[in-house]
Amino acid sequence: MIESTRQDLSQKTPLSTLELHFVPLDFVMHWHRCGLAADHFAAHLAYTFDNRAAARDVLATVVNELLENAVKFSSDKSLSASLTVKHYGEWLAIQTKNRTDARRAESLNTLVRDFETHSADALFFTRIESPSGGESSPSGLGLLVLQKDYGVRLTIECAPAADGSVEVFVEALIHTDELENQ
Amino acid sequence: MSPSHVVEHDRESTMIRGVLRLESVDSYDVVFAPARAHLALAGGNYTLDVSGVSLMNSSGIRALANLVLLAKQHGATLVVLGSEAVAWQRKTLASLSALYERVEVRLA
Amino acid sequence: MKLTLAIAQSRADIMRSQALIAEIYNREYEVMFSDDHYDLVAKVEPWPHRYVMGTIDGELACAAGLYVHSTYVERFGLIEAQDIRELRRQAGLPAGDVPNREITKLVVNPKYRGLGLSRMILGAAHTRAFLDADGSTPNLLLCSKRSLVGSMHHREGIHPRVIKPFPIYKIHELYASPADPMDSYLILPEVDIPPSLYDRKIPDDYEIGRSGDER
Repeated sequence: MIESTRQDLSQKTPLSTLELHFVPLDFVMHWHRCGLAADHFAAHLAYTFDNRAAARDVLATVVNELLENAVKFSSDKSLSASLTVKHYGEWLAIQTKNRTDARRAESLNTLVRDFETHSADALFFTRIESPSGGESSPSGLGLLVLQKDYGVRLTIECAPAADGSVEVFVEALIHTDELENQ
Repeated sequence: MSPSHVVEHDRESTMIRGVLRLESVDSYDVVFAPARAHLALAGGNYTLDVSGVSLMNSSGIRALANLVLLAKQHGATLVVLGSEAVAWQRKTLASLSALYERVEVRLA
Repeated sequence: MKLTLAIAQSRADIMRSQALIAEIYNREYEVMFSDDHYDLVAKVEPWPHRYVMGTIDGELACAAGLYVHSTYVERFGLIEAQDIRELRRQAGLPAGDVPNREITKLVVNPKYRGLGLSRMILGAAHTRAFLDADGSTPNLLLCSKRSLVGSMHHREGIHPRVIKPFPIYKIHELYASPADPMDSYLILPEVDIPPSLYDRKIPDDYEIGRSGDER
């Protein structure tokens, strides 16, 4: 179902787009910038919802999670990355692009395989009770929370880059009902 | 910049207010240190009030889950106070009680 | 090739110094930085207060920082003020109310490694111009692996005095080891730094080459 939604959306022009191009190193230097950026995006987008405060908090959580992951799991923190939010009316697409290394990409691919074969609830508890990889590898717990508790539909794609690194694309699709009905 | 959160401890409880989006799970050690010390005493009871935390990142949720697992390991009782009005608490806190039967999540 | 050594004065130069330090420390030691908190278990370090930088053709090639107060050694080294007073007394210096400072975060841009720049920036960081932030000669504290004190400080004629072993913290797991542990040291500029180095002019230009020779 997610693929058909994504395909539908890819044919549409977003009603509104907000994009941040950044260097992960900036957030390493001052970690609070992650929250600042997430809050700004959330406040900007919340204007389109009746319950702005509630929508803002949900959006801040989703955007912050994707942004923190893009910062933490970029292998070369001086290579540019991006955060984009596209508002399609009924759907919001929160997307990050960043570069990582083969080891972290493999952790992500494992996560994708687990997402396909397990429920988010079951995976959440498995990963809580059997953590893997340490801080330098994505455990996926935050992404699982977004799927399990926020109705987010996730897409994670890894593709080899010319320089031997891996380009990572993460997209969180969230229906505006999740933001309206708080 | 002023701290984004405030932490208050007494003998058997910790109360946190503000926004908690620290760098890593390890960064939460200092926030939860009194709770961890108390829970490690076999049979201890502890209350954690996060009702005033408006936003928490996944590192924080992991740190909270680790606290629950610590309580489980030592047979302690942990009460987590939250708020129905705060989205992350309403959506995610209840999951923690599924980790251990002697964790009680109360949302007011 | 010419290396220009200067103290970072403008916001832009401070930011460049911080960016180079953050890039190397995060990549090699998984360290993050903060203005408002530090946590050695979580690998979050406080930013230095001053920076000295070396540039080649305008590009930042090396940098070092200085804590002008709240030094790493005082915060985390478990030293006592009495330890420092005793070492000053042994050196024939008055105990006095002397500020404690600490050189830290010495980095060389990977693009410029192999040119002897670590010696150059270490030297620049040990000058009066950099250390005497308010006109007073400080106690210079140092937290370092023993091997580096031998290969870097002694080589420049600087003679740090051991205060005590530095405690083991997770933040150093990729840096120090039981075979090469860290100690806390005291450097008394007026007796432990060669005058030719301590009184070196900054800013200034130096010729460098692959042999690491300086002008």
